[in-house]
Amino acid sequence: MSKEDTHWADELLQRVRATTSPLPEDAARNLAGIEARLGISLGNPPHASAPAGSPQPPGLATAHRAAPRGPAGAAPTAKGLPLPLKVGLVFSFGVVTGVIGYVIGRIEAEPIIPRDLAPPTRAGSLEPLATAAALEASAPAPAASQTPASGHTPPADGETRANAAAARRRALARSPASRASNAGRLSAENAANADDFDLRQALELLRRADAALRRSDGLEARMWLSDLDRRAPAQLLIEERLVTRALADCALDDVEEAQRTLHALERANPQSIYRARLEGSCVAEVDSKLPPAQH
Amino acid sequence: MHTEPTPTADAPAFAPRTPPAFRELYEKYFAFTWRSLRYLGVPDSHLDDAVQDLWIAAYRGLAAFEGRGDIKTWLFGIAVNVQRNLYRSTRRLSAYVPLSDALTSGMADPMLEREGQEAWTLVQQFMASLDELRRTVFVASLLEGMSPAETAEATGLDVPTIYHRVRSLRQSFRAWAAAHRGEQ
Repeated sequence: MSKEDTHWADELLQRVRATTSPLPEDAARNLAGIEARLGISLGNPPHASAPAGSPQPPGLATAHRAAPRGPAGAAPTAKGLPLPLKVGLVFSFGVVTGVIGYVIGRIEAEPIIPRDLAPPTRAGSLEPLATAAALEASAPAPAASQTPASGHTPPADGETRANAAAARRRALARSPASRASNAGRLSAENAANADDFDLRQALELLRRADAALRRSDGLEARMWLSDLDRRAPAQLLIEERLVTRALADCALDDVEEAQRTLHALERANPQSIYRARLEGSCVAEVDSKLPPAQH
Repeated sequence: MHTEPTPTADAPAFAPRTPPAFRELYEKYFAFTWRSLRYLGVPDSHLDDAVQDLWIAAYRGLAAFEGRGDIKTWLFGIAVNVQRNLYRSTRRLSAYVPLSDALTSGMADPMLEREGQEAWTLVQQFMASLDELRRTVFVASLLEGMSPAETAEATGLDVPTIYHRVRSLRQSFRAWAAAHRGEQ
């Protein structure tokens, strides 16, 4: 490819960037729309100087709890009215204001936009922890005497199902000491987050990834899994995470990435029962070449 | 030789666990969100609704943001979700979702505006040939100039994959642009 062709492509992108900005009225019009939909005022822009004595523009916290614009301005003057009527007016005003405040509070409690539109808060580390490449490098070789982190070890000969279930509970309910040793393998940032991150939260993120996959939304599933990778200990629900990630890769037609994920699963646990979920997926053919999982 | 797009240096340094003021964010990043939604394929007829949906979602999620990550990346992630939700709903309504129409840059020079419009048409045609994930990477990295780390966070991919994808997309776009140059 010639330098001229390279320059031409860069020139195209530059022209697009230079001519795709909104107009000032676009920002103002949409801000008015946002205020109308939220039912609140979002105050003056930060550069605008407020006149002396005027109320401060609301920040986020105060805007969220902004008092409703009730009929205060329309309250009639009560001077000269009989006392019972004054009392009645005050009582009515209080009732009406309370009802309006309750209604607005209920509206604000129910998000107009599904909360899932806002991605989960991101940790400081931008490198997803349990990518396929990272797992291939760090996944420990399963030791005969070591119970896998997820606890999905098929019962050995003579071992009862009850013993296997107890072993799984022990693996899941890891002691703070063993949890700390796992966290020692994480970056300092993720170590702090891992201590606050429990199984329930991990399952919730995994559930959301699965829900996205049921909608054939591989990108959203990957985003939930990446968030899980950043916040959870590396070995927590590792098999479930890898299988879900492989299915997300398939949903995005990223067969190459799905195959890498499958190999990472193979290293984590060659006998994982979760491989059954990959049947019919884009890596089913690759999976068939691996040793079968013993269920 | 083409240089890697550099991330903008205007990311605010918010104190951790201090939610930034919404209005300040809006003033600072409205143009970015407007452009991002356009680049991601939101047609003009839906752009106002989409950008309002984005900022309402940002308003509701801001208190929990705590400033631990890059807010620009966070906003881009919301834009991706808004665009995909819009695409799903409009796909139910009609089988055809038209490309974004004319740019309205308000530029004083009509020649520059015309060139920009032609460039936008070509870029849109190229992006229409990409799958959703590659289109998102293209928009984040090559149009918005987000860093590989920011693009990785916004798309859920890891950084090495982003490097690979961006390189591949750049090569594809250059070849495509060269092949369609005579159409201008």
